[in-house]
Amino acid sequence: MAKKTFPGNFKSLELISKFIVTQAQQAGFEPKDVYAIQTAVDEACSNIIDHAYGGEDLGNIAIKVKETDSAIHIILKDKGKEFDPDDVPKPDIESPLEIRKERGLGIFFMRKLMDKVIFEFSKEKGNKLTLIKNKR
Amino acid sequence: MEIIITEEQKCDVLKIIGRIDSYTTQNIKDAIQALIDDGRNNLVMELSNVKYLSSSGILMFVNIHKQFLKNKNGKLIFSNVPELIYSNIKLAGFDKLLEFADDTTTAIGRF
Repeated sequence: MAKKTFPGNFKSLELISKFIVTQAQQAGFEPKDVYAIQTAVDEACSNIIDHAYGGEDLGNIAIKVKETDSAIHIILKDKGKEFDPDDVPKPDIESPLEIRKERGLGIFFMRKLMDKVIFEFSKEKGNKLTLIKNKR
Repeated sequence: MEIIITEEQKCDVLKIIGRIDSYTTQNIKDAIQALIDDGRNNLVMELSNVKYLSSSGILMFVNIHKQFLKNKNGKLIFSNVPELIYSNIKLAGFDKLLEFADDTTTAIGRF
């Protein structure tokens, strides 16, 4: 298990990616899955900064990575306001591409690229997001 | 992240090096907007050295593309897009909207 805490700003995203890529590679994922995990975590952290904290440098992002025999679990914690994924409108995939309203693409990526995405919130502990990718 | 801009006869080539994420997207958008303000709106985005492209970066490119379509002026072509980056663009459905070329010479030839 590996643990790291990063300041909640966009500059941290590159360092977070490096940390996650190393962990995913060590867990034996192939490049395609490493990129998928990297994308999901990057989108999750951008959402934490934008939506949970509502701006940069208003709190930290704590990341815990656990590896099991069958999967990698990435747990992201923040002390921002409750992040309810249902508040984010679903991506519009029906309208013609030229007029489509772009929204919620980050969450769409997280759900498509990971096997399980769990959002939890408690007043004491803040937001907890668990991203799980199964080993093949 | 670094952007190297090369002026060709009929277009400009922007070679982006590094990550396109929530930290760097605005800088890239500003660089593109500066070219557009200068009347240079035939653009090739050379992505061979891009290590990561986030949803914020994808949406920034999509919005510029839509702006060109709306104004019926300007064109954006992506060249040398790494496979993993292309697969996320495809996952979001934008492979059908944006224009791609296998290499930069081909992209330049389309202007």
